[in-house]
Amino acid sequence: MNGSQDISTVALALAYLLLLIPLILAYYFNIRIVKRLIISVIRMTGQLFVVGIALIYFFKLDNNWLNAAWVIGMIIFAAVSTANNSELNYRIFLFPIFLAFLVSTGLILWFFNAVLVDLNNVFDARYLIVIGGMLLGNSLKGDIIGISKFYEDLKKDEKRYLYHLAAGANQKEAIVPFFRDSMTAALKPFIASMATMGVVFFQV
Amino acid sequence: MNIISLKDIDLKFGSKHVFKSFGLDIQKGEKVRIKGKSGVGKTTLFRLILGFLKPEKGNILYDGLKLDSNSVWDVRRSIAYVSQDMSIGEGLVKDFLEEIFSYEANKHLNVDLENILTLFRQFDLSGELYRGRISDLSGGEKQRVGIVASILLDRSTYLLDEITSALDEALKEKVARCFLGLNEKTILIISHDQVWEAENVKLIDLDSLN
Repeated sequence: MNGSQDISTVALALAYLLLLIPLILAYYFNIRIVKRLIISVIRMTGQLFVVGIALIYFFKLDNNWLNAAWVIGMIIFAAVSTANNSELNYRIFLFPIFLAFLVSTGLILWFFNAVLVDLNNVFDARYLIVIGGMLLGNSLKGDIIGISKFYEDLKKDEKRYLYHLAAGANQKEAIVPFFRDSMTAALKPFIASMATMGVVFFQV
Repeated sequence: MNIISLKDIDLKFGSKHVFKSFGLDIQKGEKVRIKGKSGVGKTTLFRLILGFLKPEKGNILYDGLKLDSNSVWDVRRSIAYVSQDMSIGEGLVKDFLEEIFSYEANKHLNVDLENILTLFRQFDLSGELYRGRISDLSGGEKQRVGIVASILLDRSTYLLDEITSALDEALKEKVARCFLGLNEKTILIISHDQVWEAENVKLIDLDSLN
């Protein structure tokens, strides 16, 4: 066998037929998700098309500044998506979320490229962009679950927060129970996927 | 000497005035029952004293100290608050109590298991319940866990908001006797229960004051 088989453009287009399954289910059970589903597929196609072309040039140029700028661009996109999906006020939350993603992704990328892979140039496009994209893509789900649960619970259970303040907690001590709950919820899908890794593959 | 003073307080929610030029003085060691129609601002009064709400006008003084964003932390550490619908999370009762007494402000209290279980017994709560889950507790049991926590906090002022509402008569008596017997403590009680009517309890009717 000579490596893996290439997928033809026609075959790739045919893959869209798989979309019929959720569409039929949505129609049958009257789930109002068709519009969102179609918009997401169009967005995904457009984004992958543009990114695919852009990446050809990025990999060819392999310029450290451009590679770093690409990763920062991905982080901005992930921060906007998280604030959006968690229904948070952009003006207040976008910058702190961006900063949190920048520091955490940056540190993990450095650890992976410099320590684990032992690259001479940690900004190498083949590693920085690809691993950065995988990190952000995979952590996005957990980020959205954790951040939205944290603020939703605080809003829903304000009485609990106020009770802890009244019992002598400082602000940090009073939010710890909420932080604990949201961290648990955010880590749950990853714990489940790690536990089935090698048996069931569902993370890229 | 006044421990709590509310001076010329204005507060409104939307277009509704809850307090208008409202004033109140509570003396150290006083036992005060606050009554009034629903919506008159009884719980709001407690939230103002705890700094959870800011009046539009007027000042709140606690032990001579003006309540503001800096002093509020010290003031809260002198007050124990128990409400009728205790929202204390969903984990273990034991973890909830341990968390409260692990706070920097409460570490000096050195509360041990024996202290907790003695009070649990006093308020008809079993030892198994201490190791049980909060979600398995009834409303009355949650109230009593909150009462136990507040007594162990040993604060100089107690704000008790309908804390006997979910208890039977015998327990109501027990709780009222316990708090009204704390001679040096200042106790403010919001309640419609007769058990709080006693010779040393001053009655404040918010309907007539506001």
